[in-house]
Amino acid sequence: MEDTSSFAIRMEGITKRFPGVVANNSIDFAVRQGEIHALLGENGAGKTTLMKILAGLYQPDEGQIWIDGRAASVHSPRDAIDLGIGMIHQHFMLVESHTVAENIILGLDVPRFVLNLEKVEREIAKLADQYHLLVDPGARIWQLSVGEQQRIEILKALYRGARILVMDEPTAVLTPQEAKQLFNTLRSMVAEGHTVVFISHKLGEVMSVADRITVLRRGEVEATVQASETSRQDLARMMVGREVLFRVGKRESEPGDVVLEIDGLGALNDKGLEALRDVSLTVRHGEILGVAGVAGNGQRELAEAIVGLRPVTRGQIRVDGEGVTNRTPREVMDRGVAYIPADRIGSGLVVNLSVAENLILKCYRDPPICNWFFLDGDAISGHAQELVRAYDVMTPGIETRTRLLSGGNLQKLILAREISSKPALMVSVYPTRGLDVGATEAVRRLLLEQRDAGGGILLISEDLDELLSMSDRIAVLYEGRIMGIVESQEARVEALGLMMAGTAPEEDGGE
Amino acid sequence: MESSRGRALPRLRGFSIRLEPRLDVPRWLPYAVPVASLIVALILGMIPMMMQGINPLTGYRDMFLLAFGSAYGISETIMKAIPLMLTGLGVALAFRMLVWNIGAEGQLYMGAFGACLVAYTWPDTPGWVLLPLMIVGGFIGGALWGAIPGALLAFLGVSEIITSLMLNYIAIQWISFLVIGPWQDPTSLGFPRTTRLSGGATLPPITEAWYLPTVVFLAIAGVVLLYWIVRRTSDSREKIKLIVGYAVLAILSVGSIWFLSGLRVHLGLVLSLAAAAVLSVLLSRTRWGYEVRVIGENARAARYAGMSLKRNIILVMMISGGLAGLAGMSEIAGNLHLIKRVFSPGYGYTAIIVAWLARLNPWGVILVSLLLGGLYRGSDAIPGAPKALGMMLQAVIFFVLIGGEVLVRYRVRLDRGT
Repeated sequence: MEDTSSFAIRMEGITKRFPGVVANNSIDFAVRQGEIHALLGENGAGKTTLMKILAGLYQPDEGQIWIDGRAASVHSPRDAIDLGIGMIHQHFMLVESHTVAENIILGLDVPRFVLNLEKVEREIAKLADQYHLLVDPGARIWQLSVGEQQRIEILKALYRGARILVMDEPTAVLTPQEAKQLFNTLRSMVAEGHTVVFISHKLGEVMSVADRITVLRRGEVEATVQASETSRQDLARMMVGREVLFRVGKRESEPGDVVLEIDGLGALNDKGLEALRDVSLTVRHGEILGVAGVAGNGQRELAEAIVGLRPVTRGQIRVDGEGVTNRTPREVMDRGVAYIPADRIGSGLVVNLSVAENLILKCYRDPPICNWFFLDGDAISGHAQELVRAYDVMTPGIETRTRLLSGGNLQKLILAREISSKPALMVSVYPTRGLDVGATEAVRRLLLEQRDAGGGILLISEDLDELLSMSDRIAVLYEGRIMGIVESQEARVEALGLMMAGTAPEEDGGE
Repeated sequence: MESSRGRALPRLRGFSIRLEPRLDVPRWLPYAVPVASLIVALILGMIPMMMQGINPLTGYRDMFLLAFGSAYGISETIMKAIPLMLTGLGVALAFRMLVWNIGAEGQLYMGAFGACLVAYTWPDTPGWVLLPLMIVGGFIGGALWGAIPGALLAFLGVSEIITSLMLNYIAIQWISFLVIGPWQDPTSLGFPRTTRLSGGATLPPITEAWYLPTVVFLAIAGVVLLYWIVRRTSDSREKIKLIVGYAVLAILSVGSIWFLSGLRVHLGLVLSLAAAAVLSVLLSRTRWGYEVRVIGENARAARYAGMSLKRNIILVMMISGGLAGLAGMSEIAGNLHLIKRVFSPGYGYTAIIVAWLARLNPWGVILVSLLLGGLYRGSDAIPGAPKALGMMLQAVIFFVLIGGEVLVRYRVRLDRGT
């Protein structure tokens, strides 16, 4: 072990539990002075939690922190600022209608009474110049692009005297050009003696900018490596993990007619940037098509475009031969498309309503649930009782408020509702994310049963094991493009990992 | 995952008060907090009373006696409560869907306008034709006024809070214009008011003549209920609920005719109760009510389930406005019998308090309206007290109530400073 004083950050034995999950399990994490250190891992691996502990937003249940070699207790963001730690969140904390300078001094104790905004602006301009962060201190936030807003956040941290900068997925919202500019800034900051930790799940950028990389998986440290001594393949393997938890007993598929046909699909993400570019794929009845890819490469947009929740800018979507491009969610649903959204609580369920009320979310308009205008209470409870029994949902009762159910049971509830509509196509996004082993297996079994009953399934997942064991074919999505579609029997983790990192199957090396 | 992060409040001498989100809210809490808030508000309300040199205890006693101490007092309290009930129901419906309609006041005025337009156009029509038409006119007047902010919100994303509020002023000024302009009573000697409504256009007060129709109605309701119980409901708890409900309905209706006959309370009360009943059934037992509840709880899930947010926003604003319009209709046809310049003492604004205190529950609105109606009435009780005292009390109640909401969602914890 090196002398502790050469570490800007040292965290030892950090454990943080949330109800039902261990987000960080005795994590050891150390960052050297003056390096760019990447924290790599899948969604839910515990990266953000670890950094929020460092920034004083969460308190660890166990563990110790040293900053610059001195034991430190970080109880609040204020403590973190005093220790020279600045965290830049995924969602910026800026006041839209204020100017850059006003935002930067927001919350500071100085100046006490008289605000000399011009002096502040001069200081900011100097700081900006030093780190090549081009901004106009007098501009108002709403006038600025996302990339510029991020620069303000960096300036804000620097102005507060941060020497350790923590960035949570800084490139998630940036265009490639802006990302490149950001990396230049980070390099010049390190050259000035600052230390940078950045959270990411993108292999490419981690390899190009970081000095050292710590890989987290399921709340534990997988490894810490020198960027120069590793490769994308190694990182992909460490991130995803090789060992198979279990294999689902799966029969040979008997694909029938094409149920979903997507041709040259294009769509924008919430920021208005291109999220899908010329995506073409087909799913047949009785087949599971897996979609692999690192999160944020267009998976959510793909699912939403299919089910009618996101406008399609180009291309065609057909379900059982009928066009459903840019139809309303209701019209798509009526064509027999079910949808298991990634965000269970946010859009799949209404957690303040009862289990029974959630189970009719898709069929509340149709008999026997609804006769003319009136809902039939007996039919609703009969429906709920039947589904709760058939899908083995653990709930105290059908009138129980849904928010009281566990994550696995919430997902079973959604599956029960969606599968019971006997869909021709099921779009399921991260169906087992965050579930424990038992619930994961139950969900996978239900999906396979649905396949064997002749339904087509588009399975979007980050878990390569899941894709390999569940899918009949696997498509890999990278930056909104299909990098390739392979038969899952022939697929190797390494090859998929490379495609997920943006390397086309035939080529060797980088982009 | 945010749950472990409490909101930190200022530290006090080594202690810090923390608000932690409750993982689960006990069932009784959402009802206990408004009651407690009300009590705290009444205690705080003593301060302005004492500043006026009024003994708060005798003050409250006088207010209570004036509002609820006699049949006449109760009748007058109900007169104030009727417009609160109807506007409160409208506001509660909109708030259920998180559409912040604060334009009930304007919608009330436009409802009065719509009803009077009907009444002045066909003044000689008999009441049994004219009154239903006026109800329709009042509802449409309010509904159209509510549709404007609804459509602006649905199609252009303009804040309904601003637009519905602004439209209040326009509606009030429109009525002011009518009562000194085209609709002014030529015999009013310049007073800003309209001609008295014809006899057929007034809502009749409750009299002994109501016994017969009420008994007939109760008999029919009883038969329907019996049929329903025999045919449909297997659940014995549901049966008991229905039977008890029927008994309460029967006792209340016959009892209130006996109690209120010969006083000023009019058919508007029945209209309000019917509106509450219809709204309560709509919300809990129909497809549309289900949509409103889902949209109010989670708009993204609603979109995911294929519900149309735009259509429902406009529809809810129209029904909400329509109910407020009914309040205007009943106030004019039942109480004032003509339109005066500013004839509502802010019922449409008080409706916001009513809806919130009632936790957006239709039957709760009826109860709270009676309470706040009593406050309106009771604030006349204290000699020498300014008129504003009642409004001040209302404001205090609302403040304390909103403050109290925090306790429903958060748990307060006192930590030793770390």
